Amino acid sequence: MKKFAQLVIGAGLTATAIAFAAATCAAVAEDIKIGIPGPVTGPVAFLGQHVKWGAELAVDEINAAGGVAGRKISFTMQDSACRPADSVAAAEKLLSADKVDVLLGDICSGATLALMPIAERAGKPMIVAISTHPDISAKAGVGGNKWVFRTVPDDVLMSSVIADHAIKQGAKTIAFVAEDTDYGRGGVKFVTEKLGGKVKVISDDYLKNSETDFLPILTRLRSSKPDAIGIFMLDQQVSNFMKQYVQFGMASPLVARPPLVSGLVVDLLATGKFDGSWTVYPYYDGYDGAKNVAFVNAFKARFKQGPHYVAYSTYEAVKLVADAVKRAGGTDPAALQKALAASNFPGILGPIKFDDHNQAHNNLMLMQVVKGKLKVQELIGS
Amino acid sequence: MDGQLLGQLAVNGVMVGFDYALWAVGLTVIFGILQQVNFAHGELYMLAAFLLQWLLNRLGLAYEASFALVLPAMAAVGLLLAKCALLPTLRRPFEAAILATLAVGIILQNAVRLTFGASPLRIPTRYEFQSLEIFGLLFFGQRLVIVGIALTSLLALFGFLRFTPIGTALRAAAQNKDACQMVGIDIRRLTLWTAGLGSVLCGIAGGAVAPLYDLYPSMGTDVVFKSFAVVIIGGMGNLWGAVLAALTLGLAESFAGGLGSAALRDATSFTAMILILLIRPSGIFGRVVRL
Repeated sequence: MKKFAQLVIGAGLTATAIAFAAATCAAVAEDIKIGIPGPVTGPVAFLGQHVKWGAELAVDEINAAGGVAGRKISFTMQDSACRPADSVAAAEKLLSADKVDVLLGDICSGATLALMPIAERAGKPMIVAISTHPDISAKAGVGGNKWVFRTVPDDVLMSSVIADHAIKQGAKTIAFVAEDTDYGRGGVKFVTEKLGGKVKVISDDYLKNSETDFLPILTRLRSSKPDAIGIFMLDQQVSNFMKQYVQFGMASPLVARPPLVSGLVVDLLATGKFDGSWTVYPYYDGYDGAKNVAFVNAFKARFKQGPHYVAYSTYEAVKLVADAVKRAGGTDPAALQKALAASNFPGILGPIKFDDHNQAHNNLMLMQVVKGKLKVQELIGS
Repeated sequence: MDGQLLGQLAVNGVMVGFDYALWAVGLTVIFGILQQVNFAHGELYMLAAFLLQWLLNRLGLAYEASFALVLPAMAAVGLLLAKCALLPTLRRPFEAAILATLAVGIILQNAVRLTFGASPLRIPTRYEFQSLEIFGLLFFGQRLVIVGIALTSLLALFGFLRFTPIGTALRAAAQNKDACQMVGIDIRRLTLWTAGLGSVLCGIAGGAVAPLYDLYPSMGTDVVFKSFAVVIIGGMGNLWGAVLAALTLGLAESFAGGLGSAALRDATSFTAMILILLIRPSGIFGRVVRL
């Protein structure tokens, strides 16, 4: 028995050695590697799944078309649970163990902010495609971290659009319900500033992002009757909030950034109880631009559901990286950084070009629920 | 102060209190009888919810029928938990059971993630969007169902422990295991009974409470923390202590969140737990096991 065990171990070691040698030989045309720190576990794991799908689709499309500069492209996702400390650990592992050429930012702004110095120290480009905190681009580009590029418009840009629209809609009072993170607190702060007292803020509540029970807040809002309820929370949490909102028979529309674009709330919107609610998002899979329709169809065929905004963002980010690698002729970090800065990439919603803070100015979408369905009202330049 | 607001907060508090009671009772039963802390508690609740969802949406059974099927399934899961984690650690220091059940919890959570994916799922019930308005106070359909189920199952549990031979043996084991063995009570068999019972109680909690919220693999984490708070405040292993603590906590949180802020509400349960640990480490009603 012991002999047999030795034999098995011996055979295993030999096989490993052969595999290793083969891998070393193959290093001649090594993959272009993208590292993605993102939530595989935790309350926003659902979004992490969409990030992975977005990356998968982009990578497969690029490889099917022959790869980039004769090389294949691949990606590795490491769990961050969307927490800054875990995200940093994930990125360190991706850089040191997986030797990735490019990092993508995390979903949660707090985590992405923590990743920025890691990318700078490693001297590797990082594309932020999802996090919207304004500090990210304030710290990037001229006079700061040249390695970080952001493709998504930030919260300040979105806040102006939100505040303008709320004033235009004639709301007199607003109550905010937000997640207790950089995203939630930042969003409420910027919109409140932009409202400039024209709409009275009657309350602001911040909840941990795993909270599912909104009875106390809804009870209070039922009494205070705000003209609008401003939301800065992510999909899963808002889906629970909306269920309880219906039970309370509330009438105030949800505004600001409720994720009405999410596949999770389609049934809830269909009840008609949310007609008049509106949201500002960088993306919606129901947008009827030709490029978007092609992307959405490919995504649905493969993953049996529509792409979430984070899937779209990741998909575009991977394509953007491939485009830059092609122009840089390889993955040399300095050349790649320059190529990214000079990007003029034809994206799904329009061209992606970076300003001197490495911030792209993609279009934003203002959407409203009409007769149980989300409709794009306006594309707004940012 | 708005009377309707206060009334509604009180109603909410009681309704949420019954959620907490259902969550905590499985944990307190296992601790009370075996003196083992079950860290897989939240995952048992999660598993019950996913099972229910699967029966309902994949097999197309009615909510009530699915609920009835989940309970024997959870009893089997409880026996498995006893075999894997509770029996092997019965005579070991208490950390052994904590680590073993924690491992079971992690395995369950990731097994569910692999099987069902990370996208949140929903259990639709016919009571979901119904609410009853009495004198301006709202009573929510599914929450009323929970109150009914909680009262029934607590009374049934009490009756089982009080009036059946097995229940009597379980209470004896809670008081003194060595004495039990001296008079010929098989502790290993009681461990199986306790784990099965604790797991079925998680199944009841999952079936009743989970339709309120979206389902996702890590949903048990919050449940386990809240259950610990309830069990510690009520006295580890004290059944009625846990029920009273659950209702008190539900009310306190409701008023803290409704009159103060959401952050204050979260602080309530854990502040109460820390205060109790400082002032009366054995809980308000004491650690004396009276099931």
